[in-house]
Amino acid sequence: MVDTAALVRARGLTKRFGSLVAVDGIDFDVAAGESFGFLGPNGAGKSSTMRMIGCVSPRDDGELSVLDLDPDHDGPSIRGRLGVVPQEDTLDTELTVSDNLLVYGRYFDLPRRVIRERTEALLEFTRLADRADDRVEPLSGGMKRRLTIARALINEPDVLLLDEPTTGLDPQARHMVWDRLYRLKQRGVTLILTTHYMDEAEQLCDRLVIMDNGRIADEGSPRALIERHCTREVLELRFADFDELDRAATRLDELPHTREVLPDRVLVYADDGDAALAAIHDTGLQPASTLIRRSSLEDVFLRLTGRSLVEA
Amino acid sequence: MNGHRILTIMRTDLRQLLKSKDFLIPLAALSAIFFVILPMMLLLAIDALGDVPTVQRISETLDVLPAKAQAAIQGSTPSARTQYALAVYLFAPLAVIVPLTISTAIGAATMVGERERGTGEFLAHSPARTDEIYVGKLLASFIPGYAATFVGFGIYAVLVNSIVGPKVGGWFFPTNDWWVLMLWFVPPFLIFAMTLVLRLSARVRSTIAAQQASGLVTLPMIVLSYTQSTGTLFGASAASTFLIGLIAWIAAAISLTSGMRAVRRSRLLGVAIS
Ligand SMILES: Nc1ncnc2c1ncn2[C@@H]1O[C@H](COP(=O)(O)OP(=O)(O)OP(=O)(O)O)[C@@H](O)[C@H]1O
Ligand SMILES: [Mg+2]
Repeated sequence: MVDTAALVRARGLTKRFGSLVAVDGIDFDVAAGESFGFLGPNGAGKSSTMRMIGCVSPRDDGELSVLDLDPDHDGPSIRGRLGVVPQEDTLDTELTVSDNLLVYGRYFDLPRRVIRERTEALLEFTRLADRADDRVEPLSGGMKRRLTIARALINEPDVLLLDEPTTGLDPQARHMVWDRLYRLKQRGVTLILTTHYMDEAEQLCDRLVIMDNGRIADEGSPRALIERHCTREVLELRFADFDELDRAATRLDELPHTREVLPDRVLVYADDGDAALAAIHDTGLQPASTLIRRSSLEDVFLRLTGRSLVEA
Repeated sequence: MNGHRILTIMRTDLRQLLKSKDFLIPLAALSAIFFVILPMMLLLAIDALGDVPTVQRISETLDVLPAKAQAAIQGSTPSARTQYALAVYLFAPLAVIVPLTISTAIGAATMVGERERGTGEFLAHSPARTDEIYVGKLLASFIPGYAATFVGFGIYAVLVNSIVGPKVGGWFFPTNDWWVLMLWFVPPFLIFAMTLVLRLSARVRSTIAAQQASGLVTLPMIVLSYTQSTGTLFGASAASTFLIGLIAWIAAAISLTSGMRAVRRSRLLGVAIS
């Protein structure tokens, strides 16, 4: 891969907390204009990686360049060109919606007139214009998230870092956030985001890495990853009880399909789900329920790590 | 360093302080007790007693004061002289104890509090440099202590002037030495103490730990500045007063510079409790 255009480039990037290795020598490149994701479960090391990119937490080993600069030496200039949406909202809840942006703008040494213009435009963009003079405290989770995004955009950053942008939001609020991020992407803003939602990764990421235990399990576009590790379709089988499921798992060994046994169901990977289901019925197995669906990044994660993204 | 950012950080902290009642009430109470209630009780008690033998005996003990201080004491009756001496000398250490106590309470919580509330993540990601954060927070803990002391000092001046003034020939307070104390002495001692308290606050795990540890820092500071402040008022020579003040300013400057380098960004982030 030619990475002369890489905005962020990491080689052997490592973060330790005492004896715990939170990020274990990872390599990745983020190109200008792309939308890049870290998909992984709790504790995978996503936030630790984001904080190193955001120049707030020093790396313990490896190389890292952000916007062609070294975070160890050029932290202030890098931070001036980043927009950051941390995992937890860090809004000033005592201020009004627009004051949150106005105060933050001053950190960037922008003229007041410019800050005011941008605040207005950003509140419009994040659909918060009608709440501009309200206090932040009573806003809904989704509104706070959008306001945090608006605040991160006040300096017109080259790169926007989003740590779990929609965790904890209800489906409607999530779609609203996705829609706004999608628009930013269209405007050419480089997005780097983390998530443990496979649908979020599929929606927003051009390219992503799958992270687990501080390491990168694989890297590619959502489509490519699914093609590499999964079949086109997945057959989900549920059984009456655990013994039944156990027996079924043994019986399925006779079939050529790859499969994954979960505590509550069995996943059978097949390019043609209907054909696979017919074959299973032929063995005499009687699942309590069956479902054929397209493979997702969830399946990729399961294939790569043997575990679910979101623990059941 | 960028002044806008320092001021923004300072203003944010001060705004939060002003909104919290658990902070404002003790602050006002502390200043009131030391600058108003205690002095008023003492001075009025002497008024009520008049020139009874006890007061005369107290006024005789004034003889142990340095000659220069004795010469400065005004008033013709023993009770007036006693009141004058109390007003000018006894309460001098207040000018040190009150700001140190208030500023320490604020400063101790400032860094670790960011981490506890999770708001440090915001500052850490902001374009503010660590030295700007450090100075902004130093100002935000220095100003309330110093301002409260100045206000208290003003009220105290009115108080002693109206109780003692008429007996010693008019308004006499603040004396020149008090101005020196307030403007030349207290600020560097206070800044020096805050530089240490802030560094502590950035290192410890909880606000409570910070408060306990900073008590250990400020206690010697109080003793030191107490002796120095009384020394100033008891008529140490102008040159030595200037010199000691200068040393305090230099110490404050050195500690400030090294403190600016000691604060790490990652210390503002929330610590994952495992
Ligand atoms: N400041 C810290 N001190 C000690 N350990 C930490 C610290 N920050 C993170 N860790 C540990 O490092 C590991 C990776 O944490 P990290 O927050 O990067 O994971 P994550 O992928 O963001 O997880 P989540 O989905 O829960 O946000 C975890 O085991 C975590 O407990
Ligand atoms: Mg995280």
